[in-house]
This record gives sequence, structure tokens and C-alpha cells, in this order.
Amino acid sequence: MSFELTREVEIRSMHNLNNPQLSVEENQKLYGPCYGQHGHHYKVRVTLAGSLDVKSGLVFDRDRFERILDSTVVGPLDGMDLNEVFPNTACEALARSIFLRLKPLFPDGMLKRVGIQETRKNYFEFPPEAE
Amino acid sequence: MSQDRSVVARRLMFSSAHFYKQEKFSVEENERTFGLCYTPHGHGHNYVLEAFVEGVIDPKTRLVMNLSDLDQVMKSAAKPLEHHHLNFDVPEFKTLVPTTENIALYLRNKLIEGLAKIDPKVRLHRIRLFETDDLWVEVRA
Repeated sequence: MSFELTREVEIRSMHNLNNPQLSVEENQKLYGPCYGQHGHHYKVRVTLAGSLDVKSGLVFDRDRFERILDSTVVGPLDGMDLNEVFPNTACEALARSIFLRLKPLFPDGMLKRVGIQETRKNYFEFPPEAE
Repeated sequence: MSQDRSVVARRLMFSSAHFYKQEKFSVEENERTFGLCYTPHGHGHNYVLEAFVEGVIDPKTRLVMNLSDLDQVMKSAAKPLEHHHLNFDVPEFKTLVPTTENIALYLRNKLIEGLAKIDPKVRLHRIRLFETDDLWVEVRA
């Protein structure tokens, strides 16, 4: 039986949406208020999927999970300008970038999904779940 | 997918004490595997259980299931855990480590049993068990 284990971490970071290949006017028209530098209190939900280790009853070591998220998500991104770290900081791309950074740090196939609550209204996840 | 089927979800809170300890492990193995969760006396959580139930929207009641029935099933499932020390008071966790995963599995089995008794037309779809706001387990039924 497969279990999903999710841990949520928070990052308070700034970003803006822009395409460097477009002019200022084009960027303003395309992204509206998001072209201005602003910040969010993101909630990043990282989901692992796997079976239980028979003896420990765990999908994955709790402390190791926390350390990986601290060193890969919170440490490098909390309080930072995300545009200095990622080429595209639209949240759908951010979820993908964080997923790809985390993937090799877990046993093969264990990382299932990264979900980001950008605001109370906006949520993004990668990858899309297969039907 | 039938358009007559839908999913309802209900939440229940309960509080329990536990520690993580595998009797077959040495002290060092327990410390290494369970970290802070391996404590001599235990610690507590306010668990939040979410049960998702799938079924046909009944043409007469216009419901998938009566929510107070679902409440009853959930409360009975969690009753042996509510305000108990899982390692000492619950027979299943004398040998099984009461991790969030194993508690979720325990509740899933109890919910499937309870639902079958009270309303055979519905089935458990999945459950989510929150140990804290920022850590939870989901099991498909």
C-alpha cells in the first residue's frame, strides 16, 4: 500500500514576473501589477510517496526530510529575491524548479509532488497527477 | 465515471500521547531512526483526521451519506486513541510503532469496517491524518 507523506515549509521571498526579451511597456501590459517587485509568504508542500518500512513504520526519515527541505528550499530561498535564483518565478515554474532540485535527494521515484500556496487564492503544483 | 457518484469529507480532532520506539532496535538504532520522537515517556499531538467517502448521490435523500453517520463512524474509529497513550493503551501499537503512517493505517481499517456496517452503499475513498499543521499522511483506501 502506498502512503503519501507531506511536509510544509514556509518561505517569505520576493519576486516579480518579467520576460527580459520584452520591453518595459510590453512587460507592464502582460503582467500588470506582478511586474512590480513584490513578495509572498509561500507555503511549499512537499509530498513523498512510498510503502512503509516494516520495522520503523515510516515512509521516510522525519529528520532527514526536514534537513533536505531546510538546505534545499528554506535556506536558499527564504528572504531572497527568487529572480536571482530562478529564470522564471511564476509559481507554476517555481513548483517545477523546486521539484527538480529535490528529486535527486530522495530515493528513486519517492518525490511525488511539490505544491505551492502562493496566496490564499493561488495554488500551484507540479507535476500534474496522472488520471 | 458515473455522474451520480461524488465525494464527501469530514474532519475529526483527537489528542493522543505516543513515542516512537521499535523494540527490536538498540537504543542507538532507535535514536538514529526516530530522532526527537524517541523519548522515554512520550509526547502528545492534536491529530486531525479527514475522511473522504465516495458514493452515489441518493435520489431520495440527495446525499452521498448522512454526515452524522459519518461522524459516528469516525468517532468510534478514533475512540480507542482519544486521550490515550498509544504505546501503552492500544493493543495494535504494542508491536507496531505508532507513527503517523501506522495510525493512518489503523484508522483506515477501522473506517472501512465502520462504514460497511452503517452504510454499505458508500466506500472510503482516502484519509488524511495531520500530526501537525505542517506534517501529514494521506492513504488511499
